[in-house]
Amino acid sequence: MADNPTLEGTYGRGDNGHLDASGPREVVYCHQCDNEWWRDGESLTCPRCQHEFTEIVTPDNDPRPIREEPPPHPLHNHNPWAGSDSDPEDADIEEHVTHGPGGSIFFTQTIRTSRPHGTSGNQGRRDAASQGDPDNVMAGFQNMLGSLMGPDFRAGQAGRSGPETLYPQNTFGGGGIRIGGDSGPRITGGRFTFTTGPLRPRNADEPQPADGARVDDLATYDSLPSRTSPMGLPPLVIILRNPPDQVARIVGSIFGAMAPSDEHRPRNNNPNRMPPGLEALFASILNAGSAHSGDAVYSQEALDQIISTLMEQHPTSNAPGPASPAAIAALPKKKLDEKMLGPEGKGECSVCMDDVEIGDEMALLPCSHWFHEACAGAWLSEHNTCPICRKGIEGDSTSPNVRRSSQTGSPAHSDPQPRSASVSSPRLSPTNTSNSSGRNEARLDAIRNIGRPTPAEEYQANRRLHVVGQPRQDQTADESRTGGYSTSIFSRPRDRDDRYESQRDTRGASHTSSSDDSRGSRRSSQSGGQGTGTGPLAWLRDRFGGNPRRHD
Amino acid sequence: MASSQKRISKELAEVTTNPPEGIHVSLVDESNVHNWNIVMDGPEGSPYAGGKFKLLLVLPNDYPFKPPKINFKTRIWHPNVTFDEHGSMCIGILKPEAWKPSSKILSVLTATQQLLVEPVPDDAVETSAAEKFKNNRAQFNKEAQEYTKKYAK
Repeated sequence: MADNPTLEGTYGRGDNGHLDASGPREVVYCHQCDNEWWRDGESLTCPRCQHEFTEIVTPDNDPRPIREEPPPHPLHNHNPWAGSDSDPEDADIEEHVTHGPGGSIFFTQTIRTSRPHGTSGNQGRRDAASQGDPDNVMAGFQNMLGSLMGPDFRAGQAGRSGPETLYPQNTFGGGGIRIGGDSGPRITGGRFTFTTGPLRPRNADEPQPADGARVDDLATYDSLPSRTSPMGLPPLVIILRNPPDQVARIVGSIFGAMAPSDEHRPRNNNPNRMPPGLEALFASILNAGSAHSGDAVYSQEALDQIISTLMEQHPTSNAPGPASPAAIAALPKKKLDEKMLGPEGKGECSVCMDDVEIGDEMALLPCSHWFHEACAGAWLSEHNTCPICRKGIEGDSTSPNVRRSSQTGSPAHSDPQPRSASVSSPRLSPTNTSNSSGRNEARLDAIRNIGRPTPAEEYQANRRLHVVGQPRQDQTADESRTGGYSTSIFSRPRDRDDRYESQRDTRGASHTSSSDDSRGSRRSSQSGGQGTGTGPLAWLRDRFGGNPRRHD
Repeated sequence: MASSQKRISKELAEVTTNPPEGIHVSLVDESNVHNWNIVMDGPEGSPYAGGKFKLLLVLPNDYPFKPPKINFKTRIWHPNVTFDEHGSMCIGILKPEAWKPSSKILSVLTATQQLLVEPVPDDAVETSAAEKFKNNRAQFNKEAQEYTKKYAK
């Protein structure tokens, strides 16, 4: 029969762009590739993709997607203000159902208690062809809210200055939606219900429940789950009950936060994206302080709870960031001695809990806690804290920034004889500078340091940083010496390095971590102070001025 | 990974040979040291006294660089534990920003025990319990006792 072109003409593509399945020829549809073809006695394998996931199409059972225009929107011809009110004394009840993306259903019920002020006839009418467009779904949604809100509602109440018309005329086929104009009735009570699942919303035109009570309160929906839903699934019902001005405020702020929908905005870059503002809208709905308590209704408190749960499920969200690889690599290594292990000469690495002995080489943190190099590195590469006392290894004395800021940020350091100056006036020592440098600054610095001249040089610099850092740890005990070290290091000729290193070695073991702990917390509260202020300037000077660090 | 197993085994040996009072530890599956069954007696002096609470402690593969996860399997009405089938507990030592590798499982368990004695209502996950704990302690104790009798026997 395939060779009969007349049949093709008679039973060809129908109005909907599909092959006509009601004719004598069997139409087969492939679910895999959406292909359809006349079967004509052939096998059911799809000729295009060779899959067998196919189905014979009958008029009663047509699995093919609708290609052409979707059915008109439920509000297609809806015109809430076109007719005259049958009974001005009685509240008008309106219920709108809108099918949103992803099978969700928007349901609104509106009660009007006063007459319209006179409207033009075509408000609310939309182009049915635009229904598939997420933007238009959103626009329709706004329209619903607009009619819900009445004249009190003005988009952008949250301070947005822009056109009153959220969607320009050409967004809709006919008649732009003007939210908050003079037309439209005033609404004394507004509710908004968002439902998912196979909920079949009550329709005002359908027979009312047996008690005959007028549906003037969505409280009736609180009992909805008891109504048999077609698929036996419990519906999710979220109900907001607010005075209109409050609703207007909430929704106004939502839409105020939306990007203006003007012609400059590229439309539909990604049709699958959620319409702008919808996400925020849902968030705000769930967020509303006056939301009902109940099975599926969340108060602010409940929302907080959810958010904190979510935060906990993202383990590294608020934990300290990693230490820079350079700083980790630059940690001094030290062989364990009796002082570090105590009288028994035994100990364990607090990370892997393996026993260690005198003579084992360990990585020594600025807080004097020691670990296997691998153990310390594994933790520090995720969090810049000591595994025991949580003190950072950089962001303080070990931060390159501090060195720079102490070098250029304080007048004391321009002194040609910094060491003697500091010793004679310890208060000028850059203690504040070093303490005030925050972790962020240190991390910024790590980024800045990328692309510095040579790794070897960088390493050398970092090593010297540690040299600086060490004496500073016990500055409470020995402040004047500390000040001297931290300032003098920069003008120190290279040949002093060795002597300096040996000094550090003899001093390193005597540090106690307890005093460091308290200082660590103090430091963190000071972060973002002076160090941050001088950081960028110092950095610029460092980059574009002479870099004293290169005088190796 | 290997080092994490070594440390966990070591900690397990420590806890089983010298268990803290009121805490019993066993492995869910002898071949897997990452999942621990804990049975915790409700501490004396708390409304949970007399109850036996089962907990599941799960050690991540990158323990000790990530904190263990611990959940109440027995329902408990407590400001810092969700009153549901998850029994998620909110405890400072396990928070990501507070966790440090030198914290041991033993300290986690004793901290949990201490949390039963001293709830932290300002850090609550079960708000109704927290509010009663703060505003009506007698009522809180009464209800917590009732739930203990109901679920933790």
